[in-house]
Amino acid sequence: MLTIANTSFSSRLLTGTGKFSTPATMLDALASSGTELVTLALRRLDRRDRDAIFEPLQAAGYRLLPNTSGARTAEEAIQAAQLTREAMGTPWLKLEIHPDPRYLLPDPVETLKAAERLVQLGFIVLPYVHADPVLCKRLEEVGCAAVMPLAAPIGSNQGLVTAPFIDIIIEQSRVPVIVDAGLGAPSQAADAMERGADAVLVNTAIATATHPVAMAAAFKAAVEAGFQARQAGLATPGLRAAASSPLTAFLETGGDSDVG
Amino acid sequence: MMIFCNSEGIEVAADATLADALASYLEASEGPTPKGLAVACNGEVVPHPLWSQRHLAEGDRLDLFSAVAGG
Amino acid sequence: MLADYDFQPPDWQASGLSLYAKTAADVERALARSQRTTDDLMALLSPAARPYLETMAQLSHQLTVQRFGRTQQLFAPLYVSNACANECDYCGFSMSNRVRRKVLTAAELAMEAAFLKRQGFEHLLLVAGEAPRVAGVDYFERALQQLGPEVAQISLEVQPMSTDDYRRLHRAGLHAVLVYQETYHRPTYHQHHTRGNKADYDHRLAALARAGAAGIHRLGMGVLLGLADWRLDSLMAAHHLRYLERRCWRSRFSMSFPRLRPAEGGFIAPHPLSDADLVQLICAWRLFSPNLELSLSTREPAALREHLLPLGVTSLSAGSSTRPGGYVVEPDLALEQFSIDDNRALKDVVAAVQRLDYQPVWKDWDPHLHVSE
Repeated sequence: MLTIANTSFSSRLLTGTGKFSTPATMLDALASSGTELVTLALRRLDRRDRDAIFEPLQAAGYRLLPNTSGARTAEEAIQAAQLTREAMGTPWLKLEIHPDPRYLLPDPVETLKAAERLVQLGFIVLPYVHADPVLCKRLEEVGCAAVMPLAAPIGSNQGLVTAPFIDIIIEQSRVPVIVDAGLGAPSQAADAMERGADAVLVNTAIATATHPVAMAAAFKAAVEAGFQARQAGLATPGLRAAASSPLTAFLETGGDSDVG
Repeated sequence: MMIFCNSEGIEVAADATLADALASYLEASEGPTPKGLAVACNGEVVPHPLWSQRHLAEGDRLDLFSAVAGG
Repeated sequence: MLADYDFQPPDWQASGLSLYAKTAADVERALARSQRTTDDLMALLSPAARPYLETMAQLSHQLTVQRFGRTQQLFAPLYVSNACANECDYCGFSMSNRVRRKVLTAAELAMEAAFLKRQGFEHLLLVAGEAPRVAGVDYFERALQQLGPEVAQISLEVQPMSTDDYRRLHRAGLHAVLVYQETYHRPTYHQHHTRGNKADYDHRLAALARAGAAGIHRLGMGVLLGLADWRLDSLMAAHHLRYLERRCWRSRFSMSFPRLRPAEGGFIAPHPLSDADLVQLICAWRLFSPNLELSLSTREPAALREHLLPLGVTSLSAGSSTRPGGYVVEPDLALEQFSIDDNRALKDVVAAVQRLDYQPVWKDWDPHLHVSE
């Protein structure tokens, strides 16, 4: 079981709700993915074009993870969080602050500042960040419930280009590590899980697939396979042959006070 | 009196509450309070339970937000 | 939320069953990995790994050179006190031993430090028996303030302290805290540590987490090799290390390999290690933790130290005396904690290090990066 902030989840696949062709396809894909935790966003209300996704998601029993997308500073993110908690009735929060509109890359300085404050305000904070091991430890120290390092630029489907840093984050973290953004194929999600990630978050790769419902099922299987492989203990490539002059020959040439 | 919802001016009764103004703006004259919404009045978040108690004043600015799809 | 010092080693007997059940296939799997878990370490510590000693040594040597380069850090222990309020049956400082007790005065401390400084040492390890009433936090704080301007790095191997005390010493310039658990096997621990504060296993176990919380830069661990089964004790230490690494992520870690030597009172190690055991242990640690500093003391004979040095060792104590005042104040008195086998003068140690194509490093950290207030 994945446990975040004392809440247990059987599924280790988090999904986003954006970029689907219709709300119905989105709901079908979520069901097919087996996800239990889904992200959504908050926007200024447009009364002529109301996006009726909140009630169906709630009715389907998903735990909601609202994000702060659109926030460009810590101050804006804190404001957005308070609105979000009010609108969606949950203290869970995917904290994301991206001042850069082209690549939507997260701002580490503002994120740490906002996270510290939001934890004090009682939010369950899951920050979306670069795969920066030191930043992840700092976020853990201010009380974040998990960290969400990116695999690659969001929507880029490039897979785990940050793998060496994700490995360090996983090695060091005391809170769940959820690999977010850039996972374009089920094999990449399995890779993240095999490396020891606690969960992954996938949106674009499912939403923009030719058959989103089938792709959601494929991600579900991949995440489970990767997790099981990790638990089972992965096999490794063959052992390199030893070389050069012997380092332990001295043990055989006398002088060893062998008592063992 | 005149108040503003997301910068759009609307006319409401002089004793209107925030809930009244919202119903009027959303043209949902009856039924339950819409879900997935958050409202700030003059920049301050007003919790759901207070919507029907909060009386508005001339020129109040309401900011309305709702849940949308997102990653 | 980060002040939970809740580490307990895994069950000794269950771990023993797993470790002694490891096979050659487990060892080969562990050797083939690029990152190794505690389960891999179990295989490398097991008897099944003995036929792979040369392979382990080669891999360990490669990893060490890759991470640390061809360098060896040199440091000198400076014994400041042999007063001790503990009773530990293997230690010459035990309070029931009828030896004269000495705590260095400020003037004597200055003389000893000046001697070591003249020898070239920039990294001193202050060592004391555990007698907080005569050598407590106030004493060490004064010592740090006194020696700080003279010496690049000062480490401390004394009684476990509180987080607040460690914080004080950190502010006074302390570089490293060494607290060896001696053994993680609780019954054995209590059998050998019968009186004094050291009889409190849990207080000692949590000491390094407290030091880390206080911001101490380097945390030194160790098992007193020979007290209990070295394979299992080292496995427990590895679990402890992994626990500490996640909490004290700003600190680095070192592991020492004190092998029991004859001490005052004629203590015989109940679980002695052979040289081959020590080789296996050092290599297993390196393969388990490529970044860990591995430290070898003068307890080991010169010839053996030279053989062990390329296997994964990164720091050496040299030119050592193990009694307070042993360098210049009272060089002829017998107040030793344990007998030293490597009696070579410092220049011989340095020559040996260089002969093996390593560069001696006198300090790897410079206090001048800290702007004083």
